Amino acid sequence: MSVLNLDAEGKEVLMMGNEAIARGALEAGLQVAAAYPGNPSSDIIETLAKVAGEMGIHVEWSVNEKVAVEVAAAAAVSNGNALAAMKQNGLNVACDFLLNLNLTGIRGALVVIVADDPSGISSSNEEDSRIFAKLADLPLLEPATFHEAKEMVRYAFDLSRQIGNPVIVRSVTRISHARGNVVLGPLPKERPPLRFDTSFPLCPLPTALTHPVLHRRLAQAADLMADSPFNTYDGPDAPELLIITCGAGWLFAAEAVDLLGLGSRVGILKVGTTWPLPTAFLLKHLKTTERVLFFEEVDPVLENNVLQLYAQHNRELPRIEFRGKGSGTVPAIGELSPDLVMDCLSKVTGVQPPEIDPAYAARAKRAIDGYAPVRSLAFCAGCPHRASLWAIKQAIALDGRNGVLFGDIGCYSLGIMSTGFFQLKTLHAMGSGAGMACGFGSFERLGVDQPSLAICGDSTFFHAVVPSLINAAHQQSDFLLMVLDNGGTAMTGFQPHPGTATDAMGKPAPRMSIESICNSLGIETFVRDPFELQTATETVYDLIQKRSGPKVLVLRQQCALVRSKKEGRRYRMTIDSQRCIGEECGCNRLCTRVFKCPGLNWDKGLNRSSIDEAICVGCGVCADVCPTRAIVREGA
Amino acid sequence: MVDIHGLNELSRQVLEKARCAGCGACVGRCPYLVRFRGKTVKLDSCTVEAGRCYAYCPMTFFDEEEVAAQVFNGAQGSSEVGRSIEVLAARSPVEELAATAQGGGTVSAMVVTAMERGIIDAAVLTGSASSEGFPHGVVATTAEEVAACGGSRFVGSHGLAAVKDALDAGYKKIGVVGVPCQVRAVRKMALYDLKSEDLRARFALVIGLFCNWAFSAREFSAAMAERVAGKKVKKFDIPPPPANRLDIVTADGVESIPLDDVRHLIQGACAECPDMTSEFADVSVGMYEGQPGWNTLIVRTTAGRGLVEQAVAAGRIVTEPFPQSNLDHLKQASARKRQRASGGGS
Repeated sequence: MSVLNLDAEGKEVLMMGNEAIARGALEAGLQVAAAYPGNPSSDIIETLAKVAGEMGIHVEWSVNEKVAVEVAAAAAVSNGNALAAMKQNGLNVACDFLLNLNLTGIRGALVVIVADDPSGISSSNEEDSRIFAKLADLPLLEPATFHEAKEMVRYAFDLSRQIGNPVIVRSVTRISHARGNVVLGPLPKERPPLRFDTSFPLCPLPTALTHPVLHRRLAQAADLMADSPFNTYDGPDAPELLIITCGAGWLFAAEAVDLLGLGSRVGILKVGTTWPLPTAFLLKHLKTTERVLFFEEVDPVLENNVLQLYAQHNRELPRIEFRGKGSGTVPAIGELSPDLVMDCLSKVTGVQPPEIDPAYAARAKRAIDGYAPVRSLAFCAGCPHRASLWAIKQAIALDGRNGVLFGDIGCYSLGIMSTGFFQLKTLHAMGSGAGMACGFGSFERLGVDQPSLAICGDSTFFHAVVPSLINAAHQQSDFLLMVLDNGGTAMTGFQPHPGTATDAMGKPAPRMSIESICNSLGIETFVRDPFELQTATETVYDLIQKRSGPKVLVLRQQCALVRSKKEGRRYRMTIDSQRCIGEECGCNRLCTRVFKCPGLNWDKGLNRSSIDEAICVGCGVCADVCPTRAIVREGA
Repeated sequence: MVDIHGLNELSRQVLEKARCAGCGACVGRCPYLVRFRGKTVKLDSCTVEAGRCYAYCPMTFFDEEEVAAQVFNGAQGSSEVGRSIEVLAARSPVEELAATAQGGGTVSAMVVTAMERGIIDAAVLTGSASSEGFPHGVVATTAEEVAACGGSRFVGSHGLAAVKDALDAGYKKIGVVGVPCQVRAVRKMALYDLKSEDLRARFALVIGLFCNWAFSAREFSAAMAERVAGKKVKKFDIPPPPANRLDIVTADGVESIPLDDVRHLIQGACAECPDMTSEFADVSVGMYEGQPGWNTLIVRTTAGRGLVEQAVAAGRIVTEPFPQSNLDHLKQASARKRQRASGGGS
């Protein structure tokens, strides 16, 4: 039994934020959970999937976030307890449905977890999804600790059921991915029966009727959360400075106040119920101070909402100087950190941060340097994407018409950098590469003669590319889609998708064939192994010569991490140092300077390339890249 | 002195402007320059400041004076057909050489003679289309291999890519047969010899061909493939003026296309080339208009004269005087090409 479904009320355990969220859902009587993987949210469904059998719940990796929310909503409109999880981009995908579901309401409980990624550490963008709560008139809660994450999710189910509408819980990277103590609560013995009441339809029309209902439900949520224990104040009765914060900002603020020794002068007001605002609680504390400083991650959402509240109540409140993102005191973008928060607080209060013992700082730096060597973002050794992008690069060059490769979201997004030879020329949302390439391939009559190419991963193909392909087939756009099929959702941790033979719960599932789907659209479809570099290159070249509507090339080869575990090394690679021409090669070390697989080293002493035996996974591709055939494949 | 740059500049000045003559001089000199389906392709950018690719390309720069000083030990002169010791009519009486020839088989006969007499130990020639459908450079060392390369190609064939193969194979006396841009490239290799490969001595013989223009191999091949729709092309022919047509010989017979329909497939480089008769070769060979089965032969250097004498002595070629009226006509044609190259109309 996993700690996740441990039936031991009161036990204190160490949990990752995402596990705490999953536990909270189980304590609330979760029945259905669905998501599309995306960090920092992926572990929620992964942990739930592991206990799905024991707990008798339905857990799935859905094809995309919109479908995930729809699957969860199907339970939530049938008296069930459901959860959908996603990252910030996922909420964009799901929001069309969510902004209709809010008008119909639900007949159970639906908690939408959205894990934002401040600074875009594992994302293409930085985005504050809390704004959607205001847009959708749905309550939004923000946990500040791991235990609170669990408690808040459990509570969110109750709230959702009470108001008859979804509730959003917003996490951030440092809550989802860090670990802390969590006290377990009871697991329910019974769950509500799932049954769809067919006596009345769920329909957002007429909005003249449903929109006021939505507002009433939000007002009801405000009432229910007026005295929420998730909103706390810690500090003097009349603080010189009132910090208003939420989420991970609270952790950093508490640490900074402690380190600066400001506990008697500065108060910290933590908001857990970010939307709708706990107005009475906020007004009570705004009356006690003349200076306010906001700490929150990404946009000034809480800050602007409080400023609006202040404007509405200015007659009953003192003159207050507000500092935060709006005043430029706190950086307008990016993740907060203890140091950053301490710096801001130091500037506002004039209290200097404590000196760091130089010997300690030096020791800390040494420890960090030894632990994490400096390296650039790069594909793994033996990654099939490196081979695919090499083939694409060669084909575009051989063609000579300055073909454009429209990029997409996945590990292969790194192809916009040197590890992918700078081949991706665009990078936006999931499926956008195919959509844009479909457009660009339709502009021949406007004088465009550059070939149009797109790449996507296998999981992205199912998630968002299929509609673009249908569009391309119908519009007869001349573009080449290359599906880099590495057999799973690699970037987020090998989650299954419709093209894999198992589902989230590990049960066998029908495998959707990418090539059959494309063929069924009447699109010429080819499959090649990117490790067969020359064949792959020539196929790409040949396909961009054809002016005959969309073409699909599946470049299929397992993710190096999976392959090396399953199969071991395919070849033992060696360098024939007689043949290697070193710095003479391709104006200086083609293999280590341009191809740059981490398995290849430059031996400064010998002035020749060498194989890093510890890193090389023996894919053999570099042997075909070497112009002098100095890299040799031998049977492993 | 000339400025010698690297690959990036070659790309800017020549490849990106579609000025590549397809001579093959740069191909394979570094892994970033390859020939693919009839086109010279730069695969990557390069940081070398002065490279062989730029130095040997006939389209980057060509210092006629310097080359003439090396080849002729003197000036090129002012004749419309370049410097010559003698202009002759020539043909090969050897049956198997004349069989594949476009003209009189003179070139093949001279190459075989040069090999036999030890003037050269290998010849860089242009072979007929490979299975890929594009002509390519060949390093020939036997009379059979030479004979197999007879005939005209009409496209930029990258034949000089084989120069690298001949050098890598260690041949000390290499003969090269090429069209004017290729002759110019070979002379630049010998003159600048950036990697000190002893090229001046190793290029023992350069036989130039007359050339007015050539098609771009990739575009020509694509257009012809469409034209004959699956039929196997045996050869192409462009009969001498005033025919003004291209003949495609397939198993089903001959299909003729007006030349004007395919002129757009001519390489951009050819429009700016001033050299019709390979003016910097040891000997130049071309058609003898009005005399099928014969060639025009321009002897330019003492080495060239020595070869012609030996080929005659060996009975591989026979020569006759070249009439003045034909020479005048050839000079006019050559002058017209120069004029076109300098932008002086057709």
